[in-house]
Amino acid sequence: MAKSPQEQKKKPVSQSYGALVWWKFKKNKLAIVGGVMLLLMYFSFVVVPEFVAPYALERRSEYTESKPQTIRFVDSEGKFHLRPFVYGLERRVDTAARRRTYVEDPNRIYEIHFFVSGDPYKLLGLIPTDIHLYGTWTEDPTASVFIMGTDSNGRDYFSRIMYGGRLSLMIGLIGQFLTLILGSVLGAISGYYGGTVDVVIQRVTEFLAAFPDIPLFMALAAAIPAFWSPVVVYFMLTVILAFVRWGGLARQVRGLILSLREREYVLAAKSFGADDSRLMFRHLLPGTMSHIIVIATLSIPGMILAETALSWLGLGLRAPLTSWGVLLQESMTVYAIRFAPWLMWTIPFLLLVILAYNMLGDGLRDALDPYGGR
Amino acid sequence: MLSYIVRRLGYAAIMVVLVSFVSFVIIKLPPGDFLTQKVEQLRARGDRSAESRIEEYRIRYGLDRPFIEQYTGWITKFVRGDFGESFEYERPVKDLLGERLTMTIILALATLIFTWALAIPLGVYAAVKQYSPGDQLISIFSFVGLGMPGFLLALLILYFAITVLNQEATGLFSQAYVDAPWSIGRVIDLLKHLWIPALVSAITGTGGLIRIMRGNLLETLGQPFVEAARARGLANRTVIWKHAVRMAINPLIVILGSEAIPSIITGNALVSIVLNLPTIGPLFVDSLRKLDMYMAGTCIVFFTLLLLLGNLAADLVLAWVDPRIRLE
Repeated sequence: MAKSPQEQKKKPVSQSYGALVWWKFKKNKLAIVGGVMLLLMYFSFVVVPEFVAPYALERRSEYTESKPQTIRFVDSEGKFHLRPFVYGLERRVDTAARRRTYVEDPNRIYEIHFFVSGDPYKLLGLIPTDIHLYGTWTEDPTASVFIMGTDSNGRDYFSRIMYGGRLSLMIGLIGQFLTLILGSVLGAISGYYGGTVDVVIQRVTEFLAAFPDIPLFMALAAAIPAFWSPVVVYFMLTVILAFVRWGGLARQVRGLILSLREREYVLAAKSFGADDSRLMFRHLLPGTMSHIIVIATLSIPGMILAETALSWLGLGLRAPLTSWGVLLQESMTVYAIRFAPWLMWTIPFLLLVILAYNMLGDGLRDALDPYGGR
Repeated sequence: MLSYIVRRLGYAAIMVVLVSFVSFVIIKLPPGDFLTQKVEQLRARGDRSAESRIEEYRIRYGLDRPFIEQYTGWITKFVRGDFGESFEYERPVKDLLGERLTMTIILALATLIFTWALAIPLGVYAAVKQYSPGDQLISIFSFVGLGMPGFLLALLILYFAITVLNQEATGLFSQAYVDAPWSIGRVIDLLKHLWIPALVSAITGTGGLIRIMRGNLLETLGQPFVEAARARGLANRTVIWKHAVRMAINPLIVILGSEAIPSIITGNALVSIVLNLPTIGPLFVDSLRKLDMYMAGTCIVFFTLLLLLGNLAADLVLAWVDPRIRLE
């Protein structure tokens, strides 16, 4: 039977799941923007913060709690410079407030150059280099470029935000990954086997749900001994975040598995002799994947925020580790708000990450179910 | 019905006992206790006479006994209403919590009423006028609120209050009124400070509520019974508020029980710490840091109790509001 031209035209519409998801995801501009923002942020904060930051993490200068230097193109004589520059800093003593301040000195002009050599570091932890994205190209030791001011030790705050981002962003990713493994495996086992295993796992998740989660975070984080090495503390905090949060995911996975396991394709696989683990991890769990990915994406910001809040309270990461929460410790006092408001620069970065994750997650939720809805 | 409540209460009791035990274990996890921290502090200050007194304290607080005895001792007294003594303040936990309870409840109720009085009308408006400029504005507002962590927002508003309005905005009262008896001046002073926590909760707390209210109402408005009500010639206001909203509000009742009631006692700890509010939240965080174990344990048990009772209350109210729900 010959096909009508219309039928032939319709044929390519039958696409793979992946293609359909991508096709639908592409239409959501907000989600694309969110995804690109995240890629950029993860690249610069996690992979190459040493390159983007003009100074090393612990590089101290004599300018303590200096306000940000304005990036200028026009100097005090009204002359336009093609290359951006900053004015040098000069110390003043504010006798009324009894504190040191810094003012910009229009006589000292430091041009900002790109790809300049500065503090040495190892790119990706391997390649030794000293090239930074931007900096002052001068031998003058008093030269500085603090686009977001300095902290109480005279360290460049922008550099610190860059380095802090690495720990903060990674904890969200690693913590969520652990949650995902715990939640989906236990949820799958609980839903697939039923019976005693199911009852036990369900009771544990109910117990975790009965615990108010922020106090539980705090109590567990407070239990990390202060003398443990920073790396272990970081690892423990990640484990704690994952441990508290897996229950909700496990319940949802269980629900999905319960409905999936009655499908015919599962019976077919079973009749071909597939064993339990194959059925669970090859046939059932992939069916819940789209759901899991969406939940995971939307809960990463919560993880990042939990770390931030705990570290800020002094219950999570501690110096010498630098995360956004550790940075916030300094800016959360009335004194800092009044005299060093630039220490709040961490917040916009944090909000940007949260926003990007929400935008991406929202888009994924729509896209991963390409068959239903509009 | 009665047997249902009894069963739920029994379940809650078991959960509370379990939670109290586990939290006690967690609180005891860090090496050392409050007194070892104290000794270190005193040593650092060069004070040696206190060390001999420490042993007295250890016996007085029962820290010399094995873990299980400490727990059973605490929990049996707990049931009788004696929550133990705070090491930090050397006073009963009960009194310390009692002092802050009034302010915590006032604050929680104020923010609760404010949030809900704002969220429900906005959600209803957004649903009724779907895709109108007003709806879009409300949607943007609610998305911002959903993503915004309260304690960061509190910090930003504090910054605004201090730099722009030049207002000392932390705490609930100005210096002059902290210990003053209630008067009109004190109330006005309280309101001057209350706007920040109110604004924080208005932005962060309403976001989710607005989304849920809007989504549910949209679904309900499309159902035949609403059309039937309109066909009977009922006024638009009656159709929306008496027929549609009454149906769509059910999920909010669940949220009221599971999130809003527990927050009465936590008093949103993080926001309270930023704003230096005299609620129970900051007291709890501080007790964790200082290993003040009876204080921390009591707080966790109360949080859990409120969470479980809140859930039960929500289920009961839901069954009362929606007669189709049968409790078994």
